[in-house]
Amino acid sequence: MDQFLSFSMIIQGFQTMFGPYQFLSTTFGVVVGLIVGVLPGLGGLVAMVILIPFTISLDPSAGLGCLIGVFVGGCYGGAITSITLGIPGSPVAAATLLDGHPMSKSGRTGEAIGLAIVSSTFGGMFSALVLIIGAPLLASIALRFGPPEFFALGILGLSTISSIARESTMKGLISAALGLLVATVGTDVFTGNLRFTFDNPELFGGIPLIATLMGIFAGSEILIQLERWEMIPGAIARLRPKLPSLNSMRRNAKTYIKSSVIGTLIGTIPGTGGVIAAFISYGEAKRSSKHPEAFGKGAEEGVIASEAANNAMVGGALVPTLSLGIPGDAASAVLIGALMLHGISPGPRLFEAHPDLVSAIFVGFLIANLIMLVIGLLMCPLFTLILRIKKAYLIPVIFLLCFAGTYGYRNSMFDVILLCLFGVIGYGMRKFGFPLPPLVIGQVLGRMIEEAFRRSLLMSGGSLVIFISHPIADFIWLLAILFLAFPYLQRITKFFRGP
Amino acid sequence: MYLLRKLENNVLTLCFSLFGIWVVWLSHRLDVPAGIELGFNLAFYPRLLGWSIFIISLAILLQQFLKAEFGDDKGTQAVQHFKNRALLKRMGGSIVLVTAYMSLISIVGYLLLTPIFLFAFISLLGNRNWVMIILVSILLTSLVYFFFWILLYIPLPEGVLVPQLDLSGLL
Repeated sequence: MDQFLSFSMIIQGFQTMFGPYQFLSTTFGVVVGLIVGVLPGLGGLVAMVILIPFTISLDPSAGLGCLIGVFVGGCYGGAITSITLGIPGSPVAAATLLDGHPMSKSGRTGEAIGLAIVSSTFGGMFSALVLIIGAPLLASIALRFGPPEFFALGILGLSTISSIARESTMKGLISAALGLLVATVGTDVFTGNLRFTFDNPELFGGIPLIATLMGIFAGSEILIQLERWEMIPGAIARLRPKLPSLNSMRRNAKTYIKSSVIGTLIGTIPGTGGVIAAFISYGEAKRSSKHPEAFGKGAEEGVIASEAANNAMVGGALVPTLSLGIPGDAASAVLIGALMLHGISPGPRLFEAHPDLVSAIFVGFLIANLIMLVIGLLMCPLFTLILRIKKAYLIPVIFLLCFAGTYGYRNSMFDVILLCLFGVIGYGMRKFGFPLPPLVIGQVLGRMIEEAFRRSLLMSGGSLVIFISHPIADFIWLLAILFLAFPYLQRITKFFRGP
Repeated sequence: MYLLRKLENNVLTLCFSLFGIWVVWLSHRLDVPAGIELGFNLAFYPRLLGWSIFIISLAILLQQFLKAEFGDDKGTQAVQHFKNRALLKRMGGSIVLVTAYMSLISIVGYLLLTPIFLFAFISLLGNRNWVMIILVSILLTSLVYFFFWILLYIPLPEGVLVPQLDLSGLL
């Protein structure tokens, strides 16, 4: 572990992230994340995708600081809408609504917002520490992996995210396979031959990740927002957050810690995400509470459990993302995409090749949480104005930013056409219950998986036995199979238990 | 009627199964020399993916057609949904506007076309405060131009009709 990240590297990370560009871009990211998180239905993921073109032209540490800021800010921003309006600003804040909104209705809006921001910061800081300790440790283990292990690891990442797909594992698998296929377009790395390019020079370098990301997430979101034209209900009064007293913090200390642990642990499992983390943590807080009957009626613990867990999930998700190159969720896939667009390969080698960047990311995550605490409190009165922005203005803005960002990446109108195409595909997939994250994660992991697959075959002289003849690979395969079989095992158990 | 409703609900899965077959067919047309080692065979991996998509889609279709109930009727809901005139106007109009914008921008250029496009788009979405729409359209165009072109040197379409204003010297 020492060879990867020493104390002096962390100090260097602080020096880097307190540089003017890095600090400003992280702050900018948090502000954007908070604003977009507050707007119902959008969420931090769309904001991250839209901001990618901006971050490409920045130094990698500043660019990633900005995206991490959006990630962190977006998680908390959704809580404001949940508490004040009773509709989740982003899906991760859905559990906050259960007790946050009743608190608001009984005239305790400021108190609920104060609890949300403090617990979000606590959860984020806790998971940052776990990330700093856990990621280098995992990366040092992963350095012993060969191509068969990496192939199995890639498939494990895809199978977990597909199996946890809400609708159907099989639909998740199709989505993942589509993503892997998208990654095969372009020049073959082994032979230099062209594949699926249809003699179009714009495809020789492959389908740009930026077009897929923008199309699948932002493009499909535009179409969904055009379809659901419901207005935001009513205006809200000026918000004045009230920080929890020391007494309240002492009283709820167990909930803060337990929820942060749950959020971090769930975040490390690829495919889970903040929604699951928040609801599991909420359930656990209710189960272990001395007053479970108060839950759903404005219990402080309910808000703390949900908010601490959904922000702690971010740090947890970054552990496999940085150490193995396997994104924990869609937002982590965007971070990996940003790294790749900077020409940096994620995975265990990242710790050897760019220790300065890794430490900057760790410290950036820590700082983003602190910035969120300050900005989140200062910006509270502004949220009232943000909630008044009409969709009629918002949708053209999102389109324009997607257009400019995608066009500017390669100065290509073809990429904009791809963006629209992926937007329509993403919209169709959402309408028919196909999850989108596996597609993007498939494209992000595609090159690595194919390279590992073919390198393994070269090592074995074409024998497929190599994939099951390595003990670590076998263990990873077993995990992948268990994840895929999990929904079916649940059904079988239910069947035998009876109705 | 029963089959049609089932088909409506699984039309995308059907498309994916056809797509899988198309990928397999395309992979057979790739230029791979005979007798090459499997690791160097650039067609094997995409063919595997094509077959996977086809087989999984078929499995979903089979599962859906064997089910007695219609589940949440996604396709039928979508068809009913698009009979809503306001929605059709909003989505259809947006698609026409975006297509026109993308077709014309290489000729007219970003600075001239974008305010007009934004004005039309915002009006289409139901806003009638004309002064506000004009202000927002001009302001947004300028802001994006400033951030992308001037601050970050990210190019935007210049067009051929009017020479692009070069304001980069301002900074």
